[in-house]
Amino acid sequence: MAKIKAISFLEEARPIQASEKQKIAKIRKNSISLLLICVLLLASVFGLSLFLNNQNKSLLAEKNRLDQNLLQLEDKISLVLILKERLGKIFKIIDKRQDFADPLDNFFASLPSGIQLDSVIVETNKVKVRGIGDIMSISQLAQNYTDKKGDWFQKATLTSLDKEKEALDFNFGLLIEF
Amino acid sequence: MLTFSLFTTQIKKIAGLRQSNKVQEEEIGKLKQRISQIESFSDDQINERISDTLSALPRIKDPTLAFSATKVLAFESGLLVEEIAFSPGKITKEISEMTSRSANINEMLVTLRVQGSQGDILKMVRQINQSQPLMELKSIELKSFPDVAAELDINIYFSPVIVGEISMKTNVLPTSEEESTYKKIADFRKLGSGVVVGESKFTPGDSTRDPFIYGEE
Repeated sequence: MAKIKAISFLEEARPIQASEKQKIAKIRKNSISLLLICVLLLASVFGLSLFLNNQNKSLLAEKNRLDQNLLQLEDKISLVLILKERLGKIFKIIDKRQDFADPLDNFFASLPSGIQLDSVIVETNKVKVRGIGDIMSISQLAQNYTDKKGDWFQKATLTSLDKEKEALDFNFGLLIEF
Repeated sequence: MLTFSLFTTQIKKIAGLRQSNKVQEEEIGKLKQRISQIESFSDDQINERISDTLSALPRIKDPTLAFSATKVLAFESGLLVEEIAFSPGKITKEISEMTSRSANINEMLVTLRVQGSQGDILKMVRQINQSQPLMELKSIELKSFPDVAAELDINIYFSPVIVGEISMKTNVLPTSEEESTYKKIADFRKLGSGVVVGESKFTPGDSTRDPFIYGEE
């Protein structure tokens, strides 16, 4: 009769070896550590999320409050902005207009005594002069605009110089560009 | 898997919140700056500035003001006024035409004939650029020396008040250019009297209120 090998469940467990025990303990320890890290990480992420959410709410409330304050100042803002727009227009006008007083002043200051003026017209960037005078005075006038080149004017042109047969003086025309 | 999913969701949420908070903080900073800028202006200061700018650049074409201002200018310079001629332009009730031109600076040409000394005429020419309402000397012709007769072509400027076309996002603080412009006009002498002289508030152009609306010639 063949010998049958019996399996007994009541048999005493095989004693676990020391190295195996250590391995299990290590795995357990690692698992707990990992779990702890996960929990901590999740807690910190949730915490940060909660903090940012609260911060967002308070920022929104602050923004709404400031919006309300600004709304109360709306009339004042409109006035200031219209004022600025108007000052811009005024600047454009002031900036483009020319001063005719200095060119006129300079012209009269360099006028020789022997010259009698018929007309002086000042327009944008130019002074047109018509007058009568002896040749010496006219020459002096012309000289003034040759010597002082680059002073208050850019260019001066004697546009005409004529004399009638019986007259003593010359008629002249002078164009000064400034 | 669940933990990982929760984790990534929260990270995304945090990134969104951080971004949103950053934007909110920037907006709050701008709002605070704007409020402090506006509060830095006192009501009296604004009213004074409005009065000065409206005096320098009146909102409507006012022939009375043009006439009186040029007359005062000549008299104060010691000159004898021989003639003042100007055309205020056509009288119109066409509101649409007025509205389309609302952003423009209008001008009225006044021709002034005066008599006096060369010095007094120079004094007047100098005063033109230092007076309110804003004027510009377009040309001057001097004749019959030494008692000079002068004919001056002077532009007087007007501009309607624009409301609602200005961006509310514009910086409220005056720029250095605006400050220096204001200082200049505040020092100018106020000349003449008219319908809108002495106004201290901005009134938009209104065809039913203004005595006349003068169109362009």
